[in-house]
Amino acid sequence: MTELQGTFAPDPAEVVAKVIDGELIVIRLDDGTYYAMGGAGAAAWTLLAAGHDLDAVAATLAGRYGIPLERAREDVATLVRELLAERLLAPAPAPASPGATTFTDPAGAYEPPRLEVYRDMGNLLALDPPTPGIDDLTGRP
Amino acid sequence: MPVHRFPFHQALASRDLEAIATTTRRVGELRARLRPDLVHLNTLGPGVLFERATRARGAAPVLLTLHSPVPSELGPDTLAGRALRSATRIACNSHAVHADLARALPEVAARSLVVHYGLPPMGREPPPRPRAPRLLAYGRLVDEKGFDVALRAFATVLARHSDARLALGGDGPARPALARLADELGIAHAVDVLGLLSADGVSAALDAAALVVVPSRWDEPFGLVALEAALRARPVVATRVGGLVEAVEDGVSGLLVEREDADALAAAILRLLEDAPLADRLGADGRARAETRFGWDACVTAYERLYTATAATEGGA
Repeated sequence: MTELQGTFAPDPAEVVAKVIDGELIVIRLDDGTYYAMGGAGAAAWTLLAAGHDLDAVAATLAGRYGIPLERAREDVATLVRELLAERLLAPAPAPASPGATTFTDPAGAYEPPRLEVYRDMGNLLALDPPTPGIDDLTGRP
Repeated sequence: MPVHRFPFHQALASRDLEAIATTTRRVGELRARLRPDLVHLNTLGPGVLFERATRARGAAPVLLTLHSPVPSELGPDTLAGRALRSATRIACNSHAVHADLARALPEVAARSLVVHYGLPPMGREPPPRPRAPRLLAYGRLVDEKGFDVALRAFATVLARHSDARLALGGDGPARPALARLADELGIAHAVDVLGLLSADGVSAALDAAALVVVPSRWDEPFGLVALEAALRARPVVATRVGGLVEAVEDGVSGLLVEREDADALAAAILRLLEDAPLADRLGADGRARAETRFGWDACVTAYERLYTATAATEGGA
């Protein structure tokens, strides 16, 4: 478990990431792999990226979703391992004061974090290039 | 019918998360407002992601049209694999694509079928086929399309018919290399590079051509160029690859040769240039075949039935 101690952060040279409307979107810059995660997973990412350690994240999720602390801790540990394996997060020095994160949206029912991974985004973009002259279609019957 | 256009490709290719989020939100709002009976994904492309991301705003059965080669990576961590596995129905644009799909994902074979492309009827009669040796090849100028093989074949044709010309339409990353090859072969003076063609430009180029060359080296999913040529009563010399053998019937609407074989391609071109009655017959029969088998009405009717059947599917996507 030592690899899960401490705090983590996304490397802006490696990934772009944002939580929008409760949905996390991450794109790894070197190969275009696309990741998405909603619900508790997006909340966990927000807390981790703000500099909170695993225990703090688990405690927040347990309170937000009304689940046992141990279950939250197991789920967050699983998620962090996956995020580290995918190189979306890396160990980082703890910030002087972790960013305060308050969630204003309703929590909804708890489901364990599930990271959706699409490794073929680059292929799909190449398969379907924009149609040349598509703008000319405007106004066609 | 209102058309709502979204920058799916642009948002993802630019890796602009705000644009991705905005597009997702707009698609979701449209979906919630329309409450569609069916979602038709007309290509296995970036739009698939936005369909998946907005399902919660209005679940509906999904019809996916596959008119590109079946991707080699179809695992659970691919968008293509998930989209194909979860689609309610899959329409393939050729038997070749359908067979590839069934091999790659046997579990979706029962939910997939073939709907060939259809083209609307031509607005006017095609002019008589030119007797001068005018060849046309067009499409995306990429390696897969084999235009380099066409240039090598044309060098042989030009040696026998010094007044021959090859018009090359389209654009793409292979364009500089093709220009260099034409120089190296000493045929650049007889090659007309047309650039990107509009719909009217395609018609004009076809009307000016005695025959059309489709030299693809990849497994062409169908070969729309061959169908466009047939509708203008132009015979086609094409390679025996993928769905092209469905678009071109050897000896009926054109001649088929093996891929990468510039000598065979040249021989087939010369055969048509030097046998005008044969070329005329292939053009006329090809046109009749295109209008009956690949007509607009047949395609529309097939999709109408498919929409009805898919929309009625219990459980949806």
